[in-house]
Amino acid sequence: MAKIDLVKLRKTFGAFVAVQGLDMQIVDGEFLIMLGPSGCGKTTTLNMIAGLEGASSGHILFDGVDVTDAPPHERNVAMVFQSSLLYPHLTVRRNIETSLRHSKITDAERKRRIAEAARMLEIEPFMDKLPGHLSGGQRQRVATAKAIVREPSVFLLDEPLSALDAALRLSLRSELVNLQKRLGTTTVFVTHDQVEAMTMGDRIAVINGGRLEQIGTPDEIYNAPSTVFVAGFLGSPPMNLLEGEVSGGFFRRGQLAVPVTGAAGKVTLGVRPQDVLVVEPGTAGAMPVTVFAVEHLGRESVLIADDEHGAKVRALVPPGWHARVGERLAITPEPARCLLFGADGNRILEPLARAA
Amino acid sequence: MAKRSFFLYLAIAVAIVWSLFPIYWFCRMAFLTPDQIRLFPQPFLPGVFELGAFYNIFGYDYTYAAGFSTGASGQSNQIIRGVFNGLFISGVVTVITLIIVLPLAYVFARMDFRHKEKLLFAVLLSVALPPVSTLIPFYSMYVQLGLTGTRFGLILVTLTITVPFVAWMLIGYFRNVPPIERLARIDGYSRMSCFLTLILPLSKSGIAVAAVIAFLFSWNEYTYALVLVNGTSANTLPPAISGFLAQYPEPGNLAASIIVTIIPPALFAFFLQRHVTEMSLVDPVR
Amino acid sequence: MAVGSADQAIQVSTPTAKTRRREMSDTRFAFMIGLPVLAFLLIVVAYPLGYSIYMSLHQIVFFGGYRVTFVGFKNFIDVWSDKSFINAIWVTLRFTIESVVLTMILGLLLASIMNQQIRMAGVVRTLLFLPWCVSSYAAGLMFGQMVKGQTGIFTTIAFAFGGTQGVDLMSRATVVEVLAVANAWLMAPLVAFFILANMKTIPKRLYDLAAIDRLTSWETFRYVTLPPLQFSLFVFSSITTVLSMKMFDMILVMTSGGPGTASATLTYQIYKRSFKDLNLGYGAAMSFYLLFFILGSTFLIYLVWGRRVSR
Repeated sequence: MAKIDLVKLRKTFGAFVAVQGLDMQIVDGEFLIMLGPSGCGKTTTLNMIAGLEGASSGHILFDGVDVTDAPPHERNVAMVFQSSLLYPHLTVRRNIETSLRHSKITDAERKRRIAEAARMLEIEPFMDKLPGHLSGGQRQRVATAKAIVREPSVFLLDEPLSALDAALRLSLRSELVNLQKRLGTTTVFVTHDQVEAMTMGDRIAVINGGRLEQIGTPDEIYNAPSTVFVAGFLGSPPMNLLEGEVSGGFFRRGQLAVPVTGAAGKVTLGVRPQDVLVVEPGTAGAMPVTVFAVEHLGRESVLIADDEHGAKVRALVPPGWHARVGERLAITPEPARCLLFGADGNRILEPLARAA
Repeated sequence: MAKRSFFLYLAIAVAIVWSLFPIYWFCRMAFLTPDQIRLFPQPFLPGVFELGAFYNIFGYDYTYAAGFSTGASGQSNQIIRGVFNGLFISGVVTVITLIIVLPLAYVFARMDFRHKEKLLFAVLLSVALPPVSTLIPFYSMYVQLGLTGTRFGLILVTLTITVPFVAWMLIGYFRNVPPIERLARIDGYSRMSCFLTLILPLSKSGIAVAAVIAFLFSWNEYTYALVLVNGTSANTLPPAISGFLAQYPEPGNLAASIIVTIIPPALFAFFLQRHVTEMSLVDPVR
Repeated sequence: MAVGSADQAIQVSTPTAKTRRREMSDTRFAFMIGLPVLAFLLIVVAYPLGYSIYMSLHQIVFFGGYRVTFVGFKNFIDVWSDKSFINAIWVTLRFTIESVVLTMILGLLLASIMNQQIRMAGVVRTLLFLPWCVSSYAAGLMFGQMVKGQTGIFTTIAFAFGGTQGVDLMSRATVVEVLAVANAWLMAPLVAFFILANMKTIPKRLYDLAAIDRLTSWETFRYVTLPPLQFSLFVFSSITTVLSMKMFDMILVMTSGGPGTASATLTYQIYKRSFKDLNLGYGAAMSFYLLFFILGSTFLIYLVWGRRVSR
């Protein structure tokens, strides 16, 4: 169990800045997701927490103790790597045993822990096989068993599910969360998959370009994104982000007019597809669009349409709804559900006129 | 399908004939009587199936079933010595090469450090140095140090051939080993113990191939041996055999000794061929 | 002033606050392991190079008392008016290009054969690997004996079909080709095995795809098998180029540069100048040109090919 503090953590590779001045607190016992596009610095951050890479500057504290310069095994962390890296020439049992090399415990305790981990992850049948003879899902379980057997204070996972097929990923997702809740171990999970992030995390830290964009619960991240990047990165189908101008109490983009409050100037309006209404073409203040495609999701459908500027806009429609490709329609966002982002990408707080 | 497999087996047959015929045509002479060797044109098939030539090169007279006999070769001392020196020197060279090269190749393949490119260039440059150019410098140094005619001297100079070549080969191999170092560091292995207890056992194939290549280079090395140890007690097989050319030409004995030189590497090759398919140079992970 | 020096004293007496990482850094580990090898390489590369530079700038005379005279770049300039040197460049070029092209084609063919599903694959592989177990001097002996009019296989075949004359391929016109074939015979198995290892990494699905697209065997080879092999082919083209240009003992044993100077490569000329004529400075100057050609040609291969395929 540990609380982790990252203080002004910075990592550079030559001239390239991978992580720039990250300040973050990971609460004891939480399941924290670090989410971001590839190359955003999330794996580098995880490696620094693990001690695999030294920080260029800044500090890492475990329960208030500075471990910035401690080697990995002294931090009592366990890590599961991308595509569930294991020692290919050791059996599953020996792979798990290597995790306990430095633990000062009795042989009986060692045996008990390994048996316990094997039972929890249901890997008893192949304890004496080599990793090469296991399937991707089995390897993932073994890597997890290897990690929990140490009873670490921090559990670090670097896209452990990314190499697996969709169905397996779905079942392992809930298994991992369940396991983490039972063990109560502080967990940092790196992923670029926003669905994984939304479904698994207690909190999500969205990272972009080596900076922390926002940290918060999935609900906060989804409903109150603090930057235009976060707004666009999370949610499926993605949020509509429309660039336009505020003038005279309205957000304007072509014929679209949405009542807002706030200073005049260039802004980006964000609205989720479920908060967009499809209306007759020619409706005052609505945005004329041309139907591009309709995707059927079963419970609902997504209308994808081109606006006058060629940008794609999405709207959720009822499952039975139909439209021909090329048909002209208009859409209008629900003003109360719109978010405004300034030219710097940050959200302009409380900008909206409550719809009368 | 039948047509395809016919052509396939034809191709295999052609490939085998191509690979073996030059060896066969030469080694055939070990099984020809002295009279048959002088025939023009040469007979396609061996004439006698007796090991007379082999007895001769190892210093024994031999009487063929047909009644005539051949005497022990004058080169037999050199041949016997050559076999033992060759095995000893090649064995030592192989071991030392591996001890030097394994960590070196590993470091070059898996780690980033300053001046890496320059050092790598030095390794490659030493592959490119032709032995004819380095022969005189080495010879003159050896004369001054009293290393000519010693096994130690030949081992040293042979290492200059094996080390760069094997290093180059193993660098490619280690690049393909899965990145288990990170896992090992989490598990608390030091860099050295990770290398010794994890990477090395994992790289058995690569080490096997590297060992065979080092052995072959050393076993077959001719130019340096000819200049540095020929005619001394440290002589190896290749210069000893070339004695057959210069002095009294006995093609049968020459062929028999060539067969002797091929046997150890051929045994190695048999064990090697299973491992060598894992020696891909292309990186599958990154 | 006094304050300043007191500050300095404090700084010196307190060790740096930050304790260094107790784990060894990559650089330190690399140098710890690399240092002995570095020393070794210094001997391997620097010593002979330095000695050769020294020799190439001097005229070394053995007869009538050992004398060394500094002559500057005279040796380097003189070789260009030496017919045997110019001839040697052409012979080396011809031998190298033929060797490399033959070796790569043979290597690809052998690898393709070994990559098929066949019975007794282990035995076939061992047999095809055998030429590489033969040393280059033994290969020289074998091919020499095989193509000479007196002892050659071609004479035997010719007589079997009613011929009355020996067939001698060790002639002025064909001797370089014979050497190149022998060299390719020797090097092809090594190339084939590395290419085979690479072929094994090509996903089977690509071949299924090729079958669906109805590619012919040649098209499959050209568009499925060949592209992933580019890097290996490039590496081995460079390696075989270096090995061919360095090749010496096979030529010495098989032809001694003959007939005439028809197979006198640069390595053979260097040997002749240095060891037979005992003109060490001149030979050393030649060997620098050889080294230059070796590095130049590998660099050229890299420029026109390697840059595109190496990542």
